[in-house]
Amino acid sequence: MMSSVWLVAGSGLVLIGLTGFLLTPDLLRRLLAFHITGSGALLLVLALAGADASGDKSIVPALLVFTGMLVGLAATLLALWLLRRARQLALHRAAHTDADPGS
Amino acid sequence: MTGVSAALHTPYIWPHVWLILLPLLAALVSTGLNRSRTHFPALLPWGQGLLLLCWNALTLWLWLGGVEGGVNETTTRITFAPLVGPTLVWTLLTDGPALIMALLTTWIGTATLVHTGLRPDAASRPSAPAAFWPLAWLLMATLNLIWLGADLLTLYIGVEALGLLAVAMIGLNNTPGAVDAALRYLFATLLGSLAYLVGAGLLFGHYGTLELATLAGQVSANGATAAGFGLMLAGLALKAAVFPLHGWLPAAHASALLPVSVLHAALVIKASVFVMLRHWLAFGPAFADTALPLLVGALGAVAILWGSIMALQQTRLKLLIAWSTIAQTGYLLVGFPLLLQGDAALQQLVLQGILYQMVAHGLAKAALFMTAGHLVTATGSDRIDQLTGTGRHLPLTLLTLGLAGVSLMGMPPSAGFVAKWLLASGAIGSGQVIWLVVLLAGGLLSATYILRLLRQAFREGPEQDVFQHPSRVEKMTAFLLALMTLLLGLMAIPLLSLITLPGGGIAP
Repeated sequence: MMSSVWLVAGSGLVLIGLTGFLLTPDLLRRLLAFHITGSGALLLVLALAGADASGDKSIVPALLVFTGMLVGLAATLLALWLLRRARQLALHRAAHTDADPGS
Repeated sequence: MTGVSAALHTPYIWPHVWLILLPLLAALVSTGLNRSRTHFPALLPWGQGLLLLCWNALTLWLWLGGVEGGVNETTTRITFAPLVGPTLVWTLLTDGPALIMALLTTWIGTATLVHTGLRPDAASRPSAPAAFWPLAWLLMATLNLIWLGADLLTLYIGVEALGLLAVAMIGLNNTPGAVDAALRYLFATLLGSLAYLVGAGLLFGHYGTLELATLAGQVSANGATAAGFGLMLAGLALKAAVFPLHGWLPAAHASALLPVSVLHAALVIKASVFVMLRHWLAFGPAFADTALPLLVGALGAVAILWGSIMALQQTRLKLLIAWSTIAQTGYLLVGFPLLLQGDAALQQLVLQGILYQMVAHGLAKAALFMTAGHLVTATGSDRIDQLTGTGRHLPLTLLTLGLAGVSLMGMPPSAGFVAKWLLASGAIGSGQVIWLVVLLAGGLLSATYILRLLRQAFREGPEQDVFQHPSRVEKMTAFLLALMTLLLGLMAIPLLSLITLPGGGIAP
């Protein structure tokens, strides 16, 4: 069965991603772990939704996955923007508290 | 490329689509207004005012049309026929709940935007960066998309876009605390939507459709449905900060810019609960005999008690209001098991109660957050013990706080009272008195933390006697919102009459 291969692969990726997500405090690593979870989830959707009860091919699973991918892209951009801001603010604060603009 | 033809089911089709299109257009116009801000500073308030006027006229017209014509459900089908590939039909459903939430979005959105930018000193003392305007309008468009969404794909796109927009808006504030809170919230909302996505895929694999109405007709309690439904509920619960998945909320609400906190607490949280409600009405009846309804109700009850107790212990004003949001979301969930009990008339009462609680809490919480902003401006501090003496200097602000507080406690005559009365009627009618105890205890606890604020504000102290006053427009906006909770308590029928049971939804 083709679909069970995807099912196992998807669940495996989700598990690996979630473990990394919950174990690491580092936000950039968390973002990467989220991507692994996300890829696994998309595989799962294809595997689960592909086994359509009615049997005919539908565009809907592809739409779901496509939306998921777009969202992943937007979320990554947003997360990187926030991470950069967090870094800038931390540097800014360090510069002000230490009175040492070079650091 | 794409031929769009709309099948006219009722004369009301285009206005409903404009609920989404108008805010989208407004977001574009806002970007333009931002660009021209340096050359024509007067254009921003006038332009925004005009957009708000159009939006209010549209929703008011739909509301009056709905009340007069007795149109409780309007289905809009938009057919996309691309040159290659299958034809897609996109369905939007405007029923009573959707219309009520669209009205609430208009009221709170208007109040927030007026409060933020349509005051005389907005140019010299901006309370939000330029990016706030287009983001806020995009948020409104997304909210309306969620209220009208009738299939899992639309709802998925809606909650997903809403989460990302909300994170971006919280990240607008230039403090490390806000950026950290935004990141935490981002990861919570992303995990929540992954769970939702997998759940939707699972249900599609089993039933071959994503339309909620079709799913509701076919649903049966089996393993695949339970897993899909459970995943979607859990994902949405994380986004709605349902106990015990509420960890991200207090920091996010307390550190965001004021208008962002208002929109988030009053509308964004509601959107996730609203989607939960839509799913509950479709899939819930199949699981009425399992432990699921009890579990959801129990989580709501714990949220009411825990959220109120935590609110009591806060020393910072915005944190107190944030914890109160967690408690008030609990009331919505307590209604969920009651939706599956008793006869259809009783279920309709409970549905009305849940939606009225959304309206009442939305209005009261928006007023409360605005008031908190005024008090922070006045005292220069977010600490509750610094409120001493504000009662004498800011009477209107404290009156607003009191009115909003009355609705949060659920005391008559307020919209909060109507909501809790309807929920209580549902609990008594189906013989589930335990939920009544929870409702009463929650009311007492919220009275305690609201009265604590008022007592501190009316205490006279020698510490400070110079307060910076917020502008009159700001004070009046918050007051009008609080006044609306009172008016909707006295006149509940115009809104409640819109809510009837969805066709074939719950009826067994």
